[in-house]
Amino acid sequence: MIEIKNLSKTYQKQKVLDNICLNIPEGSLFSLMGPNGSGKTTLLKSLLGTLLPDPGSEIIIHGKLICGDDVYKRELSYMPQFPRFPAHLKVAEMIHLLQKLRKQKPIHKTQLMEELGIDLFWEKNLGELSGGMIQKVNILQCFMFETPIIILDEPTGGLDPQVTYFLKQWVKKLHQQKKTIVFTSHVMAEVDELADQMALLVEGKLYAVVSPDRFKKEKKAGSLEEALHQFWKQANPHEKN
Amino acid sequence: MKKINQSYEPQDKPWTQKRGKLWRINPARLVPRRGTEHPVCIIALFEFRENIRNKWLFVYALSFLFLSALITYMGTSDPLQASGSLLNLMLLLVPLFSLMFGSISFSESLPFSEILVAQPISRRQIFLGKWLGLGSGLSLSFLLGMGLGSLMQLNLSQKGFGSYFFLLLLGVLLTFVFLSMSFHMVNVARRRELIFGIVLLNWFFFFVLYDLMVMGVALLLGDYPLEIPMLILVFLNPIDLARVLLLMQIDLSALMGYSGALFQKYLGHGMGMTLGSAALLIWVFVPAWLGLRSFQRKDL
Repeated sequence: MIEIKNLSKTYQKQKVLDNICLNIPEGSLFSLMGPNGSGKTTLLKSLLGTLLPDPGSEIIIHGKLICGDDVYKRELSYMPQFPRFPAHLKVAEMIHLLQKLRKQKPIHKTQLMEELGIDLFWEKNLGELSGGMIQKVNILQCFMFETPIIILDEPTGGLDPQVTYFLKQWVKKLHQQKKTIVFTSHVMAEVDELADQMALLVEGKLYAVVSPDRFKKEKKAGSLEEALHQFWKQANPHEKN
Repeated sequence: MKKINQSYEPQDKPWTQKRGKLWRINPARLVPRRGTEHPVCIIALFEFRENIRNKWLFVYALSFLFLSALITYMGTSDPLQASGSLLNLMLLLVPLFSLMFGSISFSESLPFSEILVAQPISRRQIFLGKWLGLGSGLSLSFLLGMGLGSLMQLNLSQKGFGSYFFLLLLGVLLTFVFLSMSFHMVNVARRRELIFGIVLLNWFFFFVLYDLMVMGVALLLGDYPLEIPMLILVFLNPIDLARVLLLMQIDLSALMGYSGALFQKYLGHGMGMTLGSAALLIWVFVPAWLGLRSFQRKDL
């Protein structure tokens, strides 16, 4: 269970997250939805501790306040949207670095390496890899450890259809194992297919937490895309669409 | 609370805990691995490995190799006098390259720091690991370049090798001083494109402007007793401090200048060397501490 209370974040006098209160149930596949600049990635990064929220914000993971703590990160895996790995390190060295830092067994490493074909460029420098290869390494570094919470920032962005399919299947498998998965996505079909709950953010404010099916029914829309379009118009009436 | 299906205890326990009986100890693991398993050491080793493969460090070492070989070949084989000549080369290149390379490397590694921060380690450990790894890479390049370039020409049987090694030590200390400054500047600069301007200004201030300012003050206020303020001003510039320390060590009073002469006069050789070295160490750790604090508060 992830409890977020009064989460705010201000960048250079601009409020990016405004008093967010949100509970992410254990074992849920939870999507953060919203237009660009709505604060989705900021919220994810606040969970990871890469961004420091404003004073008064509280994030509680498994009953413990995470403020000033690093041990809770043993329970998290993270897949960034645009990973930038050290160019002069080999894939093997970078994975070895993460293994040594986490002091956890990478129990899914061999399977992921085989399925994604990472063995072929295992000894190559990260700076020599193509965008697709980098994304595969990104998947490996995130999913090789067994953690109860997984955080994914636009996970399928930049992936080819084959790897996208693999990633979705992997995420579904983890969901069946009752892992808590939080992800952001701009791909409506992906959210519709994967998420059992979604939070709707607009300009740093949380508007609703709802399941995709219920949201479509409420808006009497045939697709999630249509339902969201109606929602944005209501939330942002001045915007011409 | 959900039961996690694996132990979060460290997998690699120290060998003393892992092996029950003495005869079961693996000889390969007789050296306790506690040190190298510390996150700071792990990150420092990887940072070092990453940086020594960088072509710019190779160019840095090669520049020192070529220029120091040239200086010693054209000059003297006496290590005492050669140290004086090599000093100016070191004072020019070490701060400039440490600032530039440190800021480029640190700012480029920030996106990966996002992944590191998401691991169960503290920001302090990440910062110190990067600082140590990058600093040792730069120091090794300096030592190899300067060492190989000049040692080939120097007469090993002569006295003065203490001074020569003191010069190398000062180079390593200056590397860490300016590396710490570059880390701090990267952390506080809001826009990446501003970093290199700030870094170059910093170098220009300490290498050129500071001495001009000191000379200006001395000329303008020449009628007043300025010895003590001038002495204090030497401590406030690590480049000047390194210069005075080496010239005091090799006792080259002709090159010592006003500040060096003040050091000799007011502090004497022993006290001057002790206070100067302590001040240089403070110059290493204060910017590093400032850099650490700014990194701990930085949004990645």
